[in-house]
Amino acid sequence: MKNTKTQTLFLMTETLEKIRDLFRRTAPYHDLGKAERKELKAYLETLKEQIGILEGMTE
Amino acid sequence: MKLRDIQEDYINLNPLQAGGRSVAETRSIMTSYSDGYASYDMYSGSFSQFFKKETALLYEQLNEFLGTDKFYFTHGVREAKTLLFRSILKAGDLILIDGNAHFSTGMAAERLGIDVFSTENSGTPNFEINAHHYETEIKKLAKRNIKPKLLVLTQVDGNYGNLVDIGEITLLAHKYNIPVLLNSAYLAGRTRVNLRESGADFIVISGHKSFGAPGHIGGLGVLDKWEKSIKDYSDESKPWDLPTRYPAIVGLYASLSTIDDRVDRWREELEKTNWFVEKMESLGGINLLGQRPKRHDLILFNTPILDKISAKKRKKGYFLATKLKERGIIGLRPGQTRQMRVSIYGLTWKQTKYVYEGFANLIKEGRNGI
Repeated sequence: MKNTKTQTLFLMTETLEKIRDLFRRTAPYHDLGKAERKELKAYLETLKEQIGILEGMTE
Repeated sequence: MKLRDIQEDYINLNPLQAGGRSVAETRSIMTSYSDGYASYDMYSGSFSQFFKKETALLYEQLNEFLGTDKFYFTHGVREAKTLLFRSILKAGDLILIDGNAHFSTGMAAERLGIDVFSTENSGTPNFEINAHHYETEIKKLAKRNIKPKLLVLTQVDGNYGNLVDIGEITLLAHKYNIPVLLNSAYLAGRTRVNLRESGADFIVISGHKSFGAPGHIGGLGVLDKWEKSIKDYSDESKPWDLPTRYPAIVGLYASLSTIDDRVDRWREELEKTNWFVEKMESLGGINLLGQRPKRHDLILFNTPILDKISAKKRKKGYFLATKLKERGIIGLRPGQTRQMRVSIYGLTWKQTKYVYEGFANLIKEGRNGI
């Protein structure tokens, strides 16, 4: 049986790695253009949702 | 231990590392397999036995991607060549390799007592290999009553980044009834390479050079007719014959999940590479060595202007790498200014332009100081 919280943890890793890819694509200065800012924002939103699921464990 | 951040904080031009850069999907899967022996979950029995569904699927995917019938994992290309050589050759046999072959080809043969004969290449400025070069050497050897037992063909060499047209060479090999090994370390994985369609008999590939897989992993792919000749890993009494261990295989497997995106980008990678070559040459005092237009991302430049500028600097040859690093560009061999081997594979257009501008500014400043 898949544990939702554990799966969320793995998905967070993937989201963070996608941000790392964004850093690689914008090296060396990470000066983000409009599309890249939008992309980063989407990743951060996803991370917030994922953190929300884990925060549920503290209630 | 220091965290590795060079791919995030710098633009890395090292051509050896370009095709090995992993993507988010690969790295996140690898994280879940970072425990010792974690990969034991995925297979049964000894290291040579992979029974589970996932592994069977990996073999299926690799065979489909490479047009092979059977695939054997090794630590890298030189071990894959060793596996082949010790399977089908014996000490005292002679193989004919291309004049641009990597030193490890000769090394793999010589450690088994196999003689190596090499072709010429077309010389400056293109340094290409074609069927004529092979035929010349085959005829020379025939005069001494020697027939090569194997032709080795480096599909893209690591020096000039030349892509060889293999069709004529495999036809020639068939004419003389000599099997052909295709060394595709620098190509398969960046794009599709199909052994069956190539007319060759064997292919060796590198996961860490061209599949964006964490190292070290490579392998040997063969066609059906050769399968029985390959002495695989079932004899574990010879430790050096053991295949690569499973975490590296997991990495290669993970990298295959995004291989189609990678292959789709190949045409644009070449477009970017040729744009970069043209702009760099327009600066003056920089010339491409090897094929033109480029058909691979590995670029070798002759750079007399950079050598001239460096001679006037306190750091001499180290000036170039130091100055570029200050601009966030790394991957050049420190101290080297006469020639430069680079790749812009995987960089965005914006990054590629930034690299060109970095060189342009450096040369402009340098010319003022000469």
